[in-house]
Amino acid sequence: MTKPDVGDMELVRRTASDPEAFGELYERHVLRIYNYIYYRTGNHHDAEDLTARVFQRAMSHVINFEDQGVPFSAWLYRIAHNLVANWHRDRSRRPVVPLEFHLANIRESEHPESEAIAEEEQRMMLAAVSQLPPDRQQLLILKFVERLSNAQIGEIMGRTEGAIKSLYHRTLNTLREEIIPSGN
Amino acid sequence: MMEAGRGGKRLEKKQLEAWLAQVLVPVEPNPRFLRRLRARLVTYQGGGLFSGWMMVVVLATALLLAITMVGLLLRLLLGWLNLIGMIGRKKRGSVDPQTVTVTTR
Repeated sequence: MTKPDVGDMELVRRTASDPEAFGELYERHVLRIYNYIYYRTGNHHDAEDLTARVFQRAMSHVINFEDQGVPFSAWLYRIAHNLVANWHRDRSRRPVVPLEFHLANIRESEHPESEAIAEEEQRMMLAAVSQLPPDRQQLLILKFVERLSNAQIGEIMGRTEGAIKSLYHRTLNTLREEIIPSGN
Repeated sequence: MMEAGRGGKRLEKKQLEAWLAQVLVPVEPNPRFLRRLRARLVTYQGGGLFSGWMMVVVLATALLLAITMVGLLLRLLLGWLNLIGMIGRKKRGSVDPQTVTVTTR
């Protein structure tokens, strides 16, 4: 069995001889990848399907993965990013916010009216996020859902930390304009 | 949270970030899905068609089947030869008495 303190690269090396090594890698990264795909697709059904495909593809190519300074998680995110892009292309439509989208943080309150307003606002925000270009959506998911730093996001997206900061700034400006259009 | 922006003011960066942090929260996948996927991945890799042990089992089974088939064919051949021999003997047995009868006449 594998130990929790073993690094990802060591586990990658072990996958050829020890099937449990890939199982350990799966357990370490599956929640992040699932969350990323969920927020890009907007529903659990497609998130499950694409998450399964990400790990199946990763498993069949893990032998070819080489340590070139890019973390294993970045490699997984890139697979996920490509699969989600194909998923959107197959549907040939702009991503919309499905009804299923999870509004987790709406707390039960004594004022149903304010609760409904909060829910509507969150729905609006999710809709605005889903209208952003894919790289900006990815940035927001990695930053807020995965709580990654700009440097980590840069590794995953193949950009410098400065480029991520700049993209984040522009993304917030775009969101602001989307939510509160000028003249409103 | 939205009120600051709704009054015509520009939404502050901090407010927007706080709002995003409230909306973009981790979701929990179905635990059954996670378990099944893990089992499928580990089983596929460790006990799949291309694993070493599976190849040994397939080869051994093929060898056993081949031996069984050869044994069966040999038995059939021997049975066939035996049958031909029996028919030949029967024929010879039925011809011989007639010949004897003719010679005694």
